[in-house]
Amino acid sequence: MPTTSQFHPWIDGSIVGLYLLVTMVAGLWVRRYVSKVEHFLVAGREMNLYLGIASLAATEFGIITCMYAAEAGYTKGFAGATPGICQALAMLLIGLTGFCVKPLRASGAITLPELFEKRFGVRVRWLAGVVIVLGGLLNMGVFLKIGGDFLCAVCGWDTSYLVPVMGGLLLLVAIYTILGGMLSVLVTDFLQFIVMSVGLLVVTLLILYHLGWDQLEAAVRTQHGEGGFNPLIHPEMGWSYLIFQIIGNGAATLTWQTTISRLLSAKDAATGQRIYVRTSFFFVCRWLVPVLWGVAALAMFGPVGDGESTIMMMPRFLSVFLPVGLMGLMVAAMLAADMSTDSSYMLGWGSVIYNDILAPFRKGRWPEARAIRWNRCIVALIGVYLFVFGLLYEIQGDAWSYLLLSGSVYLSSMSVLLIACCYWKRANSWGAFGAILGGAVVPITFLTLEKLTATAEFAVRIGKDNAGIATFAAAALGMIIGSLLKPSARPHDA
Amino acid sequence: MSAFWHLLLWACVLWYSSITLLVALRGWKDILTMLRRLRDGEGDDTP
Repeated sequence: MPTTSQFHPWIDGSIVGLYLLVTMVAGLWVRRYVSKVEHFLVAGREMNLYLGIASLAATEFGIITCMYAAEAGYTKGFAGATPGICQALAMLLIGLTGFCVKPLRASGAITLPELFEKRFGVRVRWLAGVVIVLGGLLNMGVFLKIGGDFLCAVCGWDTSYLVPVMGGLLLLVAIYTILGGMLSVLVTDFLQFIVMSVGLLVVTLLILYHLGWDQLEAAVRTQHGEGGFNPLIHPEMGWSYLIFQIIGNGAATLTWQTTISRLLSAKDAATGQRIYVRTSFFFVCRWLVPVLWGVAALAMFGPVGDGESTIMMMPRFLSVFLPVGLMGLMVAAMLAADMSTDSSYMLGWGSVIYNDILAPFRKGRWPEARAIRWNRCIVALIGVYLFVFGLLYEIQGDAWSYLLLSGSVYLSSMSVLLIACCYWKRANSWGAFGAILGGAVVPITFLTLEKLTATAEFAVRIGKDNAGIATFAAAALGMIIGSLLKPSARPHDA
Repeated sequence: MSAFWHLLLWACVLWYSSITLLVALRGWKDILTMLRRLRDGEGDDTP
């Protein structure tokens, strides 16, 4: 397999350097507008439609997205893009109906736990904050390493460059996120969306032009048969995979902090819903474009050899396929995608730590300068965590399944809490604790089983999809049983 | 099923190109409006 990269240090390096310079200048320029903590966390709720589309799309597409979706294309064919269709449909339906998101935005909350406090009390708010942060950080912890792996592979660098590449990426993102908060994130997201989109489209068109649909289709048919086009007959997918994707992507659209922070930053609920509707089809592109790149890697290299990693096939393909100049554009596009994701995720989890987990420790309302200072420290600490966790943790199995399963630690319980909070009058704090407990126990147990040598085979037999479905079922059962068990409040107790 | 993915792929290319162009033209105005309102303090009281 050829491994020599087409990356030219001067030509491609200059394109990447120019992109980084413009991004940093823009990110730092808007920090002067941050005078209140609401500016830092939700951009003063001044985001309008097109900026919202750019920000949501840029946030939800990182190198990690490109890598796991391309891996799905390589290992499952075009059927690997099924999660994108599930998420697009979920976002379209939620945007059109305002299901949950309308009352959430109307509440004026900055985070989900803040809404939960109004219905379930302060303890549920705090615990929900802890679950969101644990699930989110566990999920996000692998972003940086996979991003570093991608850049080393496409640029043809030795893996010893991984740590400086990871550190450099993180430092740049951290600087403008710490100083400008959501305002810097939105402005850089806009630039990053354009650079990322141009890069993605150019590379996709080049693949279609050079390899052609017939060659790509033949590669999928030879390797995966009809299962490469139909998820229901693919041996690694089937009904349990599809059901978990529908539930998981629906829950992510409702509760994923970085997604709903765009809704909460919108200037009103109607704008938030319009952002969801107009961005929904992007989630098909977000999967199908990298899946195509993965299929192209399959067409060029064939099945993976001994000791080779399926997730690294797409970057290896790009490193030899793209000519000088376009390689720089693609690397700039991927850096744009990754930086926008990292910055939004750091800010998203940081906002929950400040707004909900630290809420009991804040006596009264803090002065704005102090609140902003704390938020900046929290974002910096998340950056340190990312750097350390990214170096230590190794994913078992494919990346997307890990991300969905670790994310389901909170997706399950938080989506159940949100739906019950908005639409079930009988829901109460016991039910909320039951849902959080049920939603956390199943995925944590499964991940532990997977890591222990004695139980790893048992975990494989259960499968990630069944474990994920069980997580949502456990959270829903916890809510129903807990709520029904709690005695109704007597009129004078109210 | 192959034709479905082929059509969906071209739909993605066309839609993505259009939305990129639209966002590039209109998103810039959104940024300027947002920054102007924040500078003037107009957004402070909105829930």
